[in-house]
Amino acid sequence: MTDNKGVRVLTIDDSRTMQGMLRKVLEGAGYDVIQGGDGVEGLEVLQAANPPPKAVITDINMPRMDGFEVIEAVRKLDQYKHLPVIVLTTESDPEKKARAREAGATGWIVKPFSTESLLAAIRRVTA
Amino acid sequence: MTEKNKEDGVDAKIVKMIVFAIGDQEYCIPILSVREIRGFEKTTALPFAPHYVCGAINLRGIILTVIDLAIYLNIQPQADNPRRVAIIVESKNGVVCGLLVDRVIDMADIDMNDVQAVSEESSSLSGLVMVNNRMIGVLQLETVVGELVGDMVTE
Amino acid sequence: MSGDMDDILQVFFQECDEQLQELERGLSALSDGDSDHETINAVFRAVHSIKGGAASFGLENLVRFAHVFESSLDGLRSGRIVPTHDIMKTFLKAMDVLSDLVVEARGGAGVDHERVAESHAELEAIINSDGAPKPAEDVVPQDFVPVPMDFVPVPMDFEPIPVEMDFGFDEPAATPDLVVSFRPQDAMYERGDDARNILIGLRDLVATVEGGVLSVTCDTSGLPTLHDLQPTRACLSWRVVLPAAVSEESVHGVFDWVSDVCDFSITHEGAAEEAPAAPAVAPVVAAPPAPAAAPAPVSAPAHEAPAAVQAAAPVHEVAPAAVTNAIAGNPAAPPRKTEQAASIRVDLHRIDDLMDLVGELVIAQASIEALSRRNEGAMQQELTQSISSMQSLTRDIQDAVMAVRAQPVRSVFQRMQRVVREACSMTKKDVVLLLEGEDTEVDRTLVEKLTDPLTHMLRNAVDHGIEKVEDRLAAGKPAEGHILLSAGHRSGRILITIKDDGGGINRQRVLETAVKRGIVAPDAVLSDDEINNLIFAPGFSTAATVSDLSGRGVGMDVVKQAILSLGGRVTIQSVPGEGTTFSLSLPLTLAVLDGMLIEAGESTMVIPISSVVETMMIDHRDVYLLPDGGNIISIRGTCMPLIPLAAELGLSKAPTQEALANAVILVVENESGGRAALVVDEIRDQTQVVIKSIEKNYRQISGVSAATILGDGSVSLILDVPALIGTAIRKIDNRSPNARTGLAA
Repeated sequence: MTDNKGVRVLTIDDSRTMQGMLRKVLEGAGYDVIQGGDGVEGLEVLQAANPPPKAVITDINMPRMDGFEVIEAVRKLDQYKHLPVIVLTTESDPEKKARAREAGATGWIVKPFSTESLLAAIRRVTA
Repeated sequence: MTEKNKEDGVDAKIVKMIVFAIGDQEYCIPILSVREIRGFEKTTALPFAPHYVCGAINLRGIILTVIDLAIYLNIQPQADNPRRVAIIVESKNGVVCGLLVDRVIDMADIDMNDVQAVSEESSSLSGLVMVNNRMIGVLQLETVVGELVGDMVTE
Repeated sequence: MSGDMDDILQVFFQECDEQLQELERGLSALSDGDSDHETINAVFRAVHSIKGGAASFGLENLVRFAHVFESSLDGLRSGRIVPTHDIMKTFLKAMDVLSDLVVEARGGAGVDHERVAESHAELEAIINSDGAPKPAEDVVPQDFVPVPMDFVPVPMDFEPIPVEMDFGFDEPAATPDLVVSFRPQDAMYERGDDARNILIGLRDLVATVEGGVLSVTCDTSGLPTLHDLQPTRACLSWRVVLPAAVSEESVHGVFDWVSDVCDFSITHEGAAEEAPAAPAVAPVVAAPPAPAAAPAPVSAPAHEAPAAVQAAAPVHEVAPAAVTNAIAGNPAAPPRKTEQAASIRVDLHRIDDLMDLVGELVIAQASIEALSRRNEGAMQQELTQSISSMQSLTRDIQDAVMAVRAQPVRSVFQRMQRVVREACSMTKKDVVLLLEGEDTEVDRTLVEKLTDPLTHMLRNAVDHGIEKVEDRLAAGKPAEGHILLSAGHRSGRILITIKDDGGGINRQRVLETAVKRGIVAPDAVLSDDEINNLIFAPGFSTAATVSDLSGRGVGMDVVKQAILSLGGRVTIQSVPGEGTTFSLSLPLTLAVLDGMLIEAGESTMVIPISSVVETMMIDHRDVYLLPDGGNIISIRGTCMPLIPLAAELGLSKAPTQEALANAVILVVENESGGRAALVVDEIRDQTQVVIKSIEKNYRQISGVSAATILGDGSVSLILDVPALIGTAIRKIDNRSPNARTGLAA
């Protein structure tokens, strides 16, 4: 999967376990992974990122700033208003899904995820 | 472990050793266990220490003890030797200590297949080896350190 | 691969510990009447996180329990459940069970399955009682339940997990060819999506059909002239023909996520067959050209424009620092008021290393200072000044590093809640543990070492301190017992108290027991305080019936030893009928120590200042020689052993009586007030020393607790005063059983 080399992906999750897994899966597929430990940090990382990431994967349930707020904030950034943001969560409540959609999420994956489906999703939004 | 091994063409098991002298005897230890070599310095006496322990020194903030190998091995050291040095070694389980010797001679590649075993296993010598017609004792570092940390309490 | 996953699994367990602490903190706050939404969220999140991680590792039992726990907490979060006393009790118990399940998953002790089932049922009862339609569905997808089963064979792999992906994968079904037309609205691009993603989704569908071919036509008729082109406006639509085998449903799947921002239609290729290449007429659903919502800010999406147009589209520099503004401008986005101070995670070893280096700095500085004293040159004064400003800097750095290592006692204190709960259920008592001063900070090594002694003292307080319910009622007390565990700083030390409102120590019974066990002589006259302290005597237990609880614990003597080994003291105050208070006084850190430098047997040694009572010259008239050569000294009427330090440590021969006659002595005291007089050659200085381990590279030395490095780089031993006193007193005890007066250890 060398064609992913250098494609940068930002993952935002307050669980270090999940972050570890995401890093492993994404780096294993050749992506360049940057991470934020919650919404606030995620946005800081996004803002400071150079080169900018090509996609964001975010959790919903996080302290300080949740995933919905992250998406809304990203959508307000001129530079990133069109950046693909995929939600990765254990929730599958239709209401929450609708809220994510409203906030401007590009996709929705339910945990636990399979390596392939995650990579497929990322490939699709970054290809 | 006899010379037969060698004749059979058993794979050489070369270990780089540092060779040092105590009195008129020569001994060696694997160079990989050596951290550094220091001039002998004043040590702090330790209560109830085994007679072969000179005392404690400070090695950049770590406290370690120095063993007088001459006393430990029961050999007559060279008299009034100003060149006595402490070889600072680290055992496999991370214990650091100093070995006081008369002088460091050189380095040698020793094929462990050439080492001739002496006495029983718990001995502080794992064997003897001939290098350039010199008989060199291979020191069993783990035994020495094990005794030092009190695995075999001698009090 | 599995090695990597092991690492992540370790991270997960570490995180579980943190989440459990968070959970405990939150639930305690809720129990205390706090109903702050953020607290409830934190509690929910803790369980949620554990569940999420556990699911990824296929830890089935943990997932199942965390799930039901989370569902019941969701009722709390949405306000459907009121946190009554009973409900909080259920949650607290569930927390303990969850914690046990984590331990089990980690390979520790197995769980009590009955207890898990019981707690599980209690949680379900809460869920079913909250009147909500089905809260569980809110948080857990239907397809979640089978997950654990699929996991079992390859728990370390991500492979066989069902996943919900709104990009859509589905089985093809046999139907006529499909014509899909779609026209993205501006909003779809604003969401970071792209028509290309939909095309890829459709292509993937076709890829599942053998020999399937996808034919795509882009309708550019909506494209304005270059002059009128608005980069943020969507102008293109597509027509895609898919093979018959692709199901309509799966195509819907592709559009599911974008259905609100993309007009689309699916028709079957029918009679009015249109040539796939048919250019002009766009079979697009009549969608209004969606006016751009906001007066378009400058930024070129250039998503859909053909190459030529793309090149011509205005490209603007984007302000990089826009984030903060954007967040500030959004009422929902600013960080919550409960914002925590920013923090980073640092390997403990690094801090230890830093602490060591600071220690080195202190030593190096002391040696410069020693040199400067010898230097009589013109620079003397400047040098002294520089050194003294460096000293204050060093002290500041040392304090700062110590602050980094400091940790609130909260984590240990909160663990005690569980200890008390379990002790209560075992003794059938009802006891509330109140915590005070959990934010008091202590060196983290100390925090860890406090857990065991505190656990035992609290069990003891529930078991022996608090009376049985009927006894309490008879005494006019509330049925529910109270224990207050508090921490605070007192004159450079940490003071921890455990105060119960129980019956107080029954001194008569303690004394009787002690006599029976041969701990004190039958005719001994002891003060109240001395009797209280008997409970710390080795092998002492006052419980008339040894309860289950005490049976599995250690004796209070071990508790006392543990506290002593931390450089601490324990004192007891007890009022009959009103309760007992244990006070622990501990040093702030185990890394440095205020010591007195003394000379003995040509060695410089350190005696902790805290154990020195006084220094004086011996008056030979006060010294009594014992038959075997030992000495006792009487100081103002109190007899104590006279210890010639160097000889005691085997560093020199025993001094002659003449040498003793005018020697310098230090009167030292152990934590229980036992005293001895140490004979030294000289008292040199008071100084702060960095404690260094001897055992790391050597072995334990009797009478020596550790070592330090002096200004000149040499090693100096730190004396273990309690051990020296203990040895001396034991020797005397062995010699004359009657000579114990005033020597009680």
